[in-house]
Amino acid sequence: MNITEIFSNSIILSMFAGSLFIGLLISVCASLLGVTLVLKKYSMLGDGLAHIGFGSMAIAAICEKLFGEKLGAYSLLISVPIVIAAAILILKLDEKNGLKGDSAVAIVSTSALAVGYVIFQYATGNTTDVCSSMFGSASLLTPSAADIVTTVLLAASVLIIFIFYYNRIFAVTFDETFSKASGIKTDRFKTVIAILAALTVVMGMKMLGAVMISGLIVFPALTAMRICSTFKRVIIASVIISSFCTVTGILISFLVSGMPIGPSVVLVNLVLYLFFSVFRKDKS
Amino acid sequence: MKNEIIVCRNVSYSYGGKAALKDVSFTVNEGDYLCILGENGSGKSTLAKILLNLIKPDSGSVEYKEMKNTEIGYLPQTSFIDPDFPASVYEVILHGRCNKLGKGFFYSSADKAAVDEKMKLLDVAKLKNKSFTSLSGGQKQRVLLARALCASEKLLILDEPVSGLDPIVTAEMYDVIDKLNKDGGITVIMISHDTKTVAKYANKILHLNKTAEFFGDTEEYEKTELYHHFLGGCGHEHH
Repeated sequence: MNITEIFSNSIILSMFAGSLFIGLLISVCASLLGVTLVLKKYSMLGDGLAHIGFGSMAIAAICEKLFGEKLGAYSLLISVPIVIAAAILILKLDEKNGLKGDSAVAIVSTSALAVGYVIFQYATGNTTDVCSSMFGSASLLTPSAADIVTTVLLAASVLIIFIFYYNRIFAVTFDETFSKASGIKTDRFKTVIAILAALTVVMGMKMLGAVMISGLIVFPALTAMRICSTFKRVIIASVIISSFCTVTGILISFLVSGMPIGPSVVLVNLVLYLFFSVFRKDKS
Repeated sequence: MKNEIIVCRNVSYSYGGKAALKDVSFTVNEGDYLCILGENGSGKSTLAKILLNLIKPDSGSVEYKEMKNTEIGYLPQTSFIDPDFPASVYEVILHGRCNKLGKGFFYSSADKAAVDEKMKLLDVAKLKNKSFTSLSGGQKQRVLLARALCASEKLLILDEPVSGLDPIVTAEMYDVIDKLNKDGGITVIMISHDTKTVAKYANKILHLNKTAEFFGDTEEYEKTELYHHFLGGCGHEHH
């Protein structure tokens, strides 16, 4: 398919515009949150939540079967409480047991993967579902009205909460001990961060795939940190980089037949990250 | 007699059955400069954590009077902060005002004015837009002290504020803290193992070795066996 064909076909064009719209919302949220997760050494949280997201998608798939297409279209929302609960559980495991964050995540996420796979296998009997849930839809689909509503709803909540709690999120990320000593309810805002991460993961699962979404969280933040040195600039750069990568990635998956969106976006992120790692800012 | 602001009664704490603090009692008055001395493993940092409300004592109590237990300006050891964290000096100091946000979400012009004032006071105004990571050790400590002052004008808790600084910067840092205490009237609690220097500035000493081996005025402390023993010991260790 070439560019003239795309832009002369209105169905394909609406498909492209729809994917782009959803993709941009996801990438803005993921990149905002990514900076905090990377700096707080919670990168693994995004990864773990993605696996749990996979498990929750299996449950959503069952619901789609049970309640039919119409209600089932909103099944992604079933994932919201599940992933939020998991995010809070991982945080608590991390604090209480003195388990290193990554082993806490490993325990919860592999269990969710296993449960999810078993559900997919026995309840739906469809292994293509497994693949697309993990790595994103294999080809572009016109986003349904339900997809758009769900994504806009989730993205709006993440953006609003993030902007209003920006100052507290910075405080908790930069120096938790100081913040706690000066009277900030740090546990509460750590939970807020975990919930935002959960919402972002849920948002991105369907289009980009559960496993790919954590790349979208981590890469833009790391790339932005190579070129900027204040928190606000890193956040802004991260959003710009992420949006650029998503647009490019979707375009590539549009032009190259058989290129799934998730991996395409992640690969563009990887290329940009490597580029800036080589040509990094002058430290002085 | 000045007002008591912290009363610490029979505080004990243990980590998995191993006692870190036993039955420690002391009081801090408004305007005091208290130094908590002791060797590594003497329970200094545990006591600091308790004073900062990061952990709760197993028994005993810490009572804050005429101030909330959250009105504390804390200066951590620089090494506690991620050396690669991207943040400007201004961003670092500004979040000291985070506890003044109350139910609000964004910093007011009063918050920003307070930051400007503290930056001037600590002579870091020209570093405002610099990256925190790029500063020298002494500059970092000044910035963190400005942040602590944004969080509280009543009580500063300083954890080894000069560790890792060269002698000149160390002396400057001690002077700044001393001025804040004497001229600014702010109460200072400092954790240190630098017995000799500290005696010059502090008016009270708490010497810890899991229990409180000494608590009282600095002049009294200098007469004790403990002081001379500790001085001798430290001298050998560090030079």
